[in-house]
Amino acid sequence: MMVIGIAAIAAVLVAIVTGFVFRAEQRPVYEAQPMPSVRVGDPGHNLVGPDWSGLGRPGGSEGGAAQE
Amino acid sequence: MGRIGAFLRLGLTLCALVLIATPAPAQHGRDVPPSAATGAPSGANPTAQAVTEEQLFREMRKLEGRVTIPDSKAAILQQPQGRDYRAFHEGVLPWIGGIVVLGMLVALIAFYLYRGRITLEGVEETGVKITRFNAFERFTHWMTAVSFIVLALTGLNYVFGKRLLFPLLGPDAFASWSQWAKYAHNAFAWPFMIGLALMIVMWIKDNLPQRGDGTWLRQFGGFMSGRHPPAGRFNAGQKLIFWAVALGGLALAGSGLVMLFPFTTFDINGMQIAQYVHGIAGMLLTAVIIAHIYIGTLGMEGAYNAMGTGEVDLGWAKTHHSLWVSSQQRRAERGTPLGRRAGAQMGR
Repeated sequence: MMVIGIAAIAAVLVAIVTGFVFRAEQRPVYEAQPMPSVRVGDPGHNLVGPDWSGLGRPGGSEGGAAQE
Repeated sequence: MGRIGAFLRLGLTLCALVLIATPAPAQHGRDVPPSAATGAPSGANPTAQAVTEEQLFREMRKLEGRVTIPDSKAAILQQPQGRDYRAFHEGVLPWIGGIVVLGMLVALIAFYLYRGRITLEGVEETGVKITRFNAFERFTHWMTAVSFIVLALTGLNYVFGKRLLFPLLGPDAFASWSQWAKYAHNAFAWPFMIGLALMIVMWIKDNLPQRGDGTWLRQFGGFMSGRHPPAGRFNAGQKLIFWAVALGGLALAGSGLVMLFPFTTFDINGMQIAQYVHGIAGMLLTAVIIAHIYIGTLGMEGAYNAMGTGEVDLGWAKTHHSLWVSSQQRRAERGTPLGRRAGAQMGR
């Protein structure tokens, strides 16, 4: 019976430790496969491009995608 | 002819005035049925020949639009694989799970009602205890078992939770439970995978097919007749459980790692295939483990001791694993003690 208890505690400990260790490596799907266009609360930069400064010029790099 | 010509001219003029004075319904934004507009119902649906979603799916691989934002993936509205996956997850998988899990429970209940518990009747208790599983083996087994039970319960929640628990718990409680269940599922995957690897390494040698396994299976382990066929350390039934756990566990671990690190190695289609594998393997293994738990506890008297305390009575071992006892006795003759009586080591 003691072995069962130790094994249960070990399972919990391993779960917690590995959970913390791999949390740095793991990325949730919405980060790994970003589609922020459908995230209403956090639209992100996808609407205007990553380097948009608000001063985009037609044909320039800034906000180019938004001005297409 | 002059009078007739005058009538014709008058008629044409009146028709022209009526047409000019009648407002065009469409220009006023009113939807008027074609038959009412023309005054001559044709009986044909004017949109009947329009392309349908089904035709688009048959002709095109994807329904794709055009976007002006950098994220080009946002242009994909639907793709056949995604629709197939949704049909699997919402339709096929719950049926598979319901059939194999509930089917196994029904089969075990029927077996129990027909056969009853397999007792120690006919087994000569010797009072000598022999070690069947050492402490590390039992630790590994129970760590894996605890992890699997957490994984199975939280995994079933993915499929059946919204159908069974949501109506009982309500939206808030179900959302909280599901969120923590998801965290637990991800976390307990690691002790399960560690335990699985250790079990495969520890027990694969004793679970390789041997002469006599076919006989054991043909006689159904003697469960019905009461005469147990010879078996090594693991009988053929236990070997089937081992290989189901090993292969099913590896399938779960591989597909689970794909999902623990999403889109690291595969695209969206690969992720969906991983979930096909994970869902089916999880349901099948859950059913197998239910049978394993039954036979290890309620189904067979004395079976729990093997993994509970690690020791079994020599008489039980001779009945259920006679070939293994013989090999252990040969080892004992070479100096390794076989069993102990009331705390004393017995070298017999």
